Amino acid sequence: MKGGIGGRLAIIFSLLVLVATATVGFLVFWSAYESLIEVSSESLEHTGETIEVRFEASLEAISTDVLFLAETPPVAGIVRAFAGPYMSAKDGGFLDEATNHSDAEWREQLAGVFAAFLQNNPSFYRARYIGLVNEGREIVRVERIDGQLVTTSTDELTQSGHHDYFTEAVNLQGGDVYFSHIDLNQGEEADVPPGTPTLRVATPVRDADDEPFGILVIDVDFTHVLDAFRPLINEDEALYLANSHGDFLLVHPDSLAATVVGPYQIQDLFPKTASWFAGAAGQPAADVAIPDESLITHEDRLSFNSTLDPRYLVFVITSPSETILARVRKVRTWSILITVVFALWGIALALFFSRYLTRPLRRITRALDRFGQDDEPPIVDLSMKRKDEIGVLARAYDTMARQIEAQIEELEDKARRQRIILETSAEGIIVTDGQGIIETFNRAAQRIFGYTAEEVKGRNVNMLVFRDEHDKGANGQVSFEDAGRWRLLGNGHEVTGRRKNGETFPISLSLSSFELGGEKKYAGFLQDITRRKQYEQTLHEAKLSAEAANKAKSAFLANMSHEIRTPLTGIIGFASLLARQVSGKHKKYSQLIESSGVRLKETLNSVLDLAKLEAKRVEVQLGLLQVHTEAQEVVQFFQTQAQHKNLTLDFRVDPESEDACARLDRGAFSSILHNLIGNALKFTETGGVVVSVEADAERVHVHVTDTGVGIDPSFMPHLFDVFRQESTGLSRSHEGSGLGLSITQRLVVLMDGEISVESEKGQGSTFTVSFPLAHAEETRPGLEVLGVDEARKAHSSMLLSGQVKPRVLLVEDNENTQFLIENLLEDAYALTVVSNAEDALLEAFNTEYDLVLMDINLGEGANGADVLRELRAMPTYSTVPIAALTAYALPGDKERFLEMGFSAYLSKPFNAEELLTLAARM
Amino acid sequence: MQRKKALIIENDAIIRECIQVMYESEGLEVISARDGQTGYELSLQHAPDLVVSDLYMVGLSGIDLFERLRADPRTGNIPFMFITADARTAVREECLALGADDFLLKPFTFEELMRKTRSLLAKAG
Repeated sequence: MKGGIGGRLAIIFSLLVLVATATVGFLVFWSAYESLIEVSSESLEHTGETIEVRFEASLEAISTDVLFLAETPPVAGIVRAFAGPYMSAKDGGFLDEATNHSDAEWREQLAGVFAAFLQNNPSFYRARYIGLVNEGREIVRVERIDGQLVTTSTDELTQSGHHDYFTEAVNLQGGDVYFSHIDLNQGEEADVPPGTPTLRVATPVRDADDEPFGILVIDVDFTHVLDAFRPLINEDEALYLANSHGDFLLVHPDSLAATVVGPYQIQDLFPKTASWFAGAAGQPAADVAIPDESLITHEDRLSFNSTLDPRYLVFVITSPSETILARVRKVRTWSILITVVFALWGIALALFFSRYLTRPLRRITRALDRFGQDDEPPIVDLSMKRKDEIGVLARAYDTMARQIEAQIEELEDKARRQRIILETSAEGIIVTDGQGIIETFNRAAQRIFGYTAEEVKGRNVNMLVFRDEHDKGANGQVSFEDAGRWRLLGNGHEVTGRRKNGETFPISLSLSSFELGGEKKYAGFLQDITRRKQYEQTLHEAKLSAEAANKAKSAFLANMSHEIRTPLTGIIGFASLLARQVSGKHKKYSQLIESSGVRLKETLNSVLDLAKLEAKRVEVQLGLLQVHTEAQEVVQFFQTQAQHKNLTLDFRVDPESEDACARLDRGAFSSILHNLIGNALKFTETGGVVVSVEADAERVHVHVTDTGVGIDPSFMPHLFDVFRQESTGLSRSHEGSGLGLSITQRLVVLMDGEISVESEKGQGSTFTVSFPLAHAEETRPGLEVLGVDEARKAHSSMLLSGQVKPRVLLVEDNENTQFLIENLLEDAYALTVVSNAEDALLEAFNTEYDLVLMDINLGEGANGADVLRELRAMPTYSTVPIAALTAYALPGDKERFLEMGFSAYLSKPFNAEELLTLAARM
Repeated sequence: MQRKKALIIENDAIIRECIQVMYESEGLEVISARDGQTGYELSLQHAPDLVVSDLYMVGLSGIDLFERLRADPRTGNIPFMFITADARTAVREECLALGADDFLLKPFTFEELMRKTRSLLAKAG
């Protein structure tokens, strides 16, 4: 893979290896170079030291030799002889009296010693004994000439006292050794070849008085000593050795000597040595290939005879750095070689590792590339067993791939399900983009509109759906696009659709918008509601006709009622009138006519009641009633009738149920009991009727039990049916419309009650009605709040139990009205009458009334509304019922008064019943 | 004591006659009319102590007559009772809401009529 991680890794790795090995190579090379230079220098230094040792050893040997010679007897003998008496030339000159030897004899002996000595030391080419006498005339002289030892005859001996070596050596202490400078023979020494380095080594000889006598001196051909240095010098090294003047004494190898010896001194060639020479440094030898930086040099001095002015030799050993460089180069070559080898290895390794690393990566990336593109399963061998990061990656990939696979499968499954739902949906589904261009058009939609999906996709939904007829505001077209503006979003809008065949039809459209990938989409769910509309139309018509029929029935009933009532009025009226004016049989007849008329009227009333109940036009006004009081009243009403039939009519109350109250409409409850007790009396010939009231935890029950004919079980299911009496036809034994129980049952149900019957034919029947118990606190807010005041509460409970009369305050300025109300209320209520606002407030303040009847127009001063406001401001009257009695009876007046805070409203003139009803309700 | 004077306005001759006989048997002086307009004129003319009127009549209806009488100070205080065969509760309520002093549904017995009549006459003083 070009530019892949593998290639880059290989390059980087190779570069690193190259740099590393090059650095190491260079360091190795450099340290080798350094250490080689050092080793070479040390080697040269060592050579120098060896030279020095040898040099010193040579000088020591020579010194020893000289001192040895000086100790030989002839030397002292000669000294003594020279001090002795002169004999004759023939006798050998002077006589050594100690030994009786003549000097000649000693000289001969010494010459013999010298000869033998020279014989043994080839480098000594001359030995002399020189005395102070005769201006330093030689006493004995033996020298090597042409390889032969020659003892110079006495006559040929020369004076040597002028030589430095004589003058310097003769004054030395005994045992000291003098070394001359080593000079090159310039020809003055005939015995040695020119250019030969020579050294004179001397030791003083003293007489018996320790006065200087002379010296013993040996001339040394120093070539021998110097040549002994040659073997110390390695092959490619060179040795330059010069005397104290810088003159070359030895240049090794000889090949170098030709170019160097003669024109140059050592300090010219080796400036480092210049400091050892007096005077300025020599001129740099520019014109000769002098040793330069390419040479490794070692300079030193060889000192001798420190007693006199320093004598020394200077030597320089050189070694061409080329030799070392050659070795170093070898090292360099090796290190380069090794570098290259390591670099190659490194590259190879880098390539291998990068391949090793990247191959699985490549495989993973290849797998990723292929992922989802072809059918090949994306799970491939991905080195998942590897324990390194690659393995982790491979496993991660594998896990991911499997998850994605699973998710894709899940998504496909979901998509499949949704497609199925979409396609099998009974609702037409159209999805459009934000502009209303159709994108999805399901099978149901195709069925509804008659288009195939291909025909409508990409076209605007306007071609299919129209605004419904009631909303022809714009051009009547629906675009999903401005669904929001049309307020079409939401459910169940009725719009008009157009099929492919041009037919229009009603649609129920539910439109929702959603965002998909940042684009607004609309989904419309449509139902063809043609049939539903037809059904609805039918239904509507049916309803209208039913309503019309019902209206007709009501009108018919009203008309019938009216038309029956009018003639009945005459019948009943005249009959009742006649009954008062005639007597005997005629009176009886007219009473019969009257009672028949009354029965007809009652039947008529029942029919109307039932019609009203069936039409649900009866509204009951529920108020809190003490059940036993109401029941007792009705029982009372029937007492006379029972007595006429010689029946007993008893009323019983469970003492614990005396307080039981229920929310009832007084008229309806009364009519229920009227009916039940009336029926009981009607169907009972002997015995009697018992009415009893009892309450359990939830309900209050009223039982009406008779000892009458009972009810046949087969008739039970029809007991509450309309116009049904058990006995019918000619055998009908009891008069009545058969409507009573039907009405009763409906009234009971209307007030949340239940009615049941138990009967045994011939034994009697028990009708039971029951209603949910109600509590004063719940249902009479006025009393509830007053309950805060304990006394008031007690009074309230006494009111309920009938122990005290409710206190009523009448505020009325018209005396006639005062009189009327007093008459109407004085039996049941404790009435106090005041005629103006001030008295009303004073009275209300002194006594807590249960009800206030308030005239609005109180003449001059404050009116009833003002009094109301004052009363309502008093805590004790905040909830006491206050009724408005007024002649203000225009439409809206009632609402106005109730809004003001009045509890009830009664317009003048009112009749007794209205007032009593109002007072009772309060 | 002066005889009380009752005005009966009733469409139906038999009922008109019946009420009249009943009243006269109880000692009331009776004036009668068969329609509202006549009834109105008679009330102005005779200032009766009580007006008993049918609800539905040709021409001036009972309601019209009642409102006209109440609007006139001369007749505004005369007790007024409707008598009708329309048994609908709403009718009764409407009549009373208008301010009629009483309401009697046909048919009625002698006692029923006279109880209400006596009450009305007592109220008027």
